[in-house]
Amino acid sequence: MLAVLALLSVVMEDQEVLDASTDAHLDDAAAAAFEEEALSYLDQLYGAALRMTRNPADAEDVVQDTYAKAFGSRHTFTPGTNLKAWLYRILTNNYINRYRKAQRSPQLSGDEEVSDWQLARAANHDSTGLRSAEMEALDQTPDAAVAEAIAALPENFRMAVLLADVEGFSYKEIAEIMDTPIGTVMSRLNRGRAQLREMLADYAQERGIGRKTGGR
Amino acid sequence: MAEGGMYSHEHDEMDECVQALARIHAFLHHELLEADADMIRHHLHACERCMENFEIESTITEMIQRSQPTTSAPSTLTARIQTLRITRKG
Repeated sequence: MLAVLALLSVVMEDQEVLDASTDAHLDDAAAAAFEEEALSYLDQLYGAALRMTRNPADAEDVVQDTYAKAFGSRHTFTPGTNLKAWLYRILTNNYINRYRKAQRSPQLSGDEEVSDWQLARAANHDSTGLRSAEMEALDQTPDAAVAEAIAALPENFRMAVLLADVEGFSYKEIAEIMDTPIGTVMSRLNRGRAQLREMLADYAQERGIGRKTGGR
Repeated sequence: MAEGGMYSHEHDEMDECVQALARIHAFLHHELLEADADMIRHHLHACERCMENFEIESTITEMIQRSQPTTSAPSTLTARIQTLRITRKG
């Protein structure tokens, strides 16, 4: 029985090889086109990897792994679907597997239960940490301080914010990239942005940016 | 958990503010249906504080973008990735 199965599988493999050689020309052309298109996202993927890892050497490693995986698993990509999002998903997984696990930080997810009190507080216009007087001054915050605040966000919040606000992906695409429901994406974005805003407000207050000149 | 169970609603405006705040990021990211986006726009024009909040949020979006400049991949990386191609052109 086992021998018969083995024989069958050999026959089937032969058939596949035959089919493959018949289609080889077409497949080569498709593969070349796929690789060309994938390569057109190289700068963007490198920029994203640099933002994730915050280290050029690590970013290069992650991007290289991403392309190795992408080229090797072209057949799992459905033509006509979103190649850019597909590549970002591989990139994100590579990053998570290589670095997040290495860091072994259980606190990084940031996905604690979303609570209504935040909204309630917000509705009182009470939680923003930024007063309108400080708003114009907000713009004066140096880019480096903003980048530092983003880097300080919990990992999942940071990824969601970068994917939405920097890479410009839709919520649906982010859900695919992060392999999570859209509701979770929205929650990560809302909470990530809220934390960022608090940090920026703290920064502004510490530096006296936009501070009201009291009493005058 | 019943919606709104954690705080009292004395005014409809409060509900509108909660809605506007809850959806401000989806609004900013153009993720709302047009009818919902119109509701938010309408509220923002009617509520100064929510408008301020929106302006702060949109400023923060610009700050995030400005703080993350675009970068080009190093040429050495580009070259290495070319060698990974399955359909290497001779």
